[in-house]
Parts: sequence; C-alpha cells; structure tokens
Amino acid sequence: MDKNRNILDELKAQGRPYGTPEGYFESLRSRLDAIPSEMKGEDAAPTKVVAMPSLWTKVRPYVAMAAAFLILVTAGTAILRTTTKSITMSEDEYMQIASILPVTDPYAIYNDSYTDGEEEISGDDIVNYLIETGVSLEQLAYTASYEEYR
Amino acid sequence: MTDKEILEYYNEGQSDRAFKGIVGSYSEKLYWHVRRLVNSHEDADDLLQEIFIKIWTALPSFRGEAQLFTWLYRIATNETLNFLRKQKVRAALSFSSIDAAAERKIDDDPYFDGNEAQRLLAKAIAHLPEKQRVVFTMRYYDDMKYEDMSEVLGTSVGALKASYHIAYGKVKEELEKSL
Repeated sequence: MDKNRNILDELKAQGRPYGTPEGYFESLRSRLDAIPSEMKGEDAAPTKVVAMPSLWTKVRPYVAMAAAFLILVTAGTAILRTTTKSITMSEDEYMQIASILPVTDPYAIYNDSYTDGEEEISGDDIVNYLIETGVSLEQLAYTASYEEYR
Repeated sequence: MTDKEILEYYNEGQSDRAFKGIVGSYSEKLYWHVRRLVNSHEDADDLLQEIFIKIWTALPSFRGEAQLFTWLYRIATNETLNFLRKQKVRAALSFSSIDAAAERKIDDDPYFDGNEAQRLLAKAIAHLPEKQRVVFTMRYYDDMKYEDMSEVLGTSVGALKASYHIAYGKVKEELEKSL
C-alpha cells in the first residue's frame, strides 16, 4: 500500500504530463478576450432580461383544453344521435311489459295521461281505502297522525 | 488582476474589462482543469471557448455570494461534465467502449509528453466515474481544499472526502496491476 502511495506521490512530483503548442496561452487569451466584442451584435452588455409571459400565453393551455372538451362532447352527441334508433312500441307491447313489472298500477308507468283530470285523493279517501283493505288499527292510527301533520 | 479588482470593474459597469481580468487570471488554470478531465488538447481548447462564452453571458447573474474562482470552476466543471456525458452517449450509440475511447485519446494526443507511468495514471483516472474523476483531479493535481470543492460541486465535504478516498483506491489498484 505504501509502495503505491509513493508511486502516486512520485508521479505527482514529476509534474504535469501534458504539453501545449508553443505560444498557446497567448493566442488563447487573445481569442477569449475577443468574446465580448464578438457577441456585441447578439448581446452588447450582459444584462439580465426576464421575459414576462403574456396573458394569452398563460391562458392558452386552458383554452385549448376547453376547446378539446367541447369538440369531444359535440362529436359524441352527434355520433349518438346518428347511430341510435328510437324504439317504437305498440300499446299492446307497452301493456305486456307493464304487466310483468312488480308495481300496483302498471298503467301509470307508460301512460302519463292515466291520472290526468282526476281529482286529487284526500286523506279520508286513503283512510277509507285502508279500512276496506283490512289494515290494522295501529296502521290506521299512524296514517291518521300522518294526516294531522300534513 | 485579483478577484476583488475584477469585481470592482464589473460593479462599475466595466464588464469588458472585468471579463479581460477573468481571462487573464483564470484561462490557464481552467484550461488545465479541463484538460486533465478530457485528456485531449483539442477538446480542452474547444471547451474553453464555450466555457468563457458561458462566463460572459452568466456574468450578470454573479451576485458575489460565492467566491469568483469557485463560480468560474463550477461553470467550467459543469460544461466539462456535459461534454463527457455526451461522449458517453455517443459511445453507447455506436456500441463502442467509452474506456477504450478515453485510452485512445490519451495515446493519440500529440501533446501528451509524460512517461509510461504517467500515461497509465492518466488512463486509470479516465476509467473513474465522471464525478470521482473531477474530485480526484481537483484534489490530486490542484490540491484544492475540500471546502472549495464543496462550493464548486455542491456536495458535502464528507461526501467529497469519501469520493476521493474511493477514487484514490481505484487508481492505486489499477496502477498496482499495471506497473
């Protein structure tokens, strides 16, 4: 280890092993000295210039994003409208579907006008209906109390 | 011209004169710093031109928080490291060995006038990873203080000491094998 350490020290003591062409540093200095005058056309005196971005530069990415979104929505809507067929069903077909749905009044589902023109159902009507259908007294009491709060 | 005089010229608005002062005081030092890292006079000469253009354009950003010489060495080192990285990429793209290319440069440099042991040392240094190479040359050849190197490289003193220790071991081992 010491031997190698000495080799590195010896090599260091021998000086730098690199040479340069004769008169190199004088020519280098004169070339480097000319840099400011050569660059005068581009940047006369080195000054710090901080370019401020314009408002349009700042908002441009957001405008581009909004435009892209709008184009996507418009194109999507247009494609859906042209490719989707409207479903037409006969009244019998409507009724057939309505009958298999688990609701008490299937006609009301597809026939919006079913209740048109009818009188509004009062609380008494509901109570009478419940009595007729054999509802318990507790449920009736609950319904009555509900009516009081209406 | 001293660093103080250079900065005085610059603060007085005499940037041309300040730049001339930098060229006069630092061109030779920076040349040797770069030359040891790139192992070629031609490459060092080209790089030095680029480094001084960068120094001229970056001069307004120098605020005097760092010493002038560490600021100049930082620019020179960064430019040289960029150059070495580009060389590495070029070697990778052409499927050739970067180590072999570095050795060729040392062998082909007409201005290398050292003996065989010095040639082997130059090659051993060229085989080091870039950062270790920088640390090793700054310490071994320039005897730069770790504190100054820390300012130049933006690395802690402890990390630099470790890096130099590792680099020294690698160079020593390679010389041991070759000599």
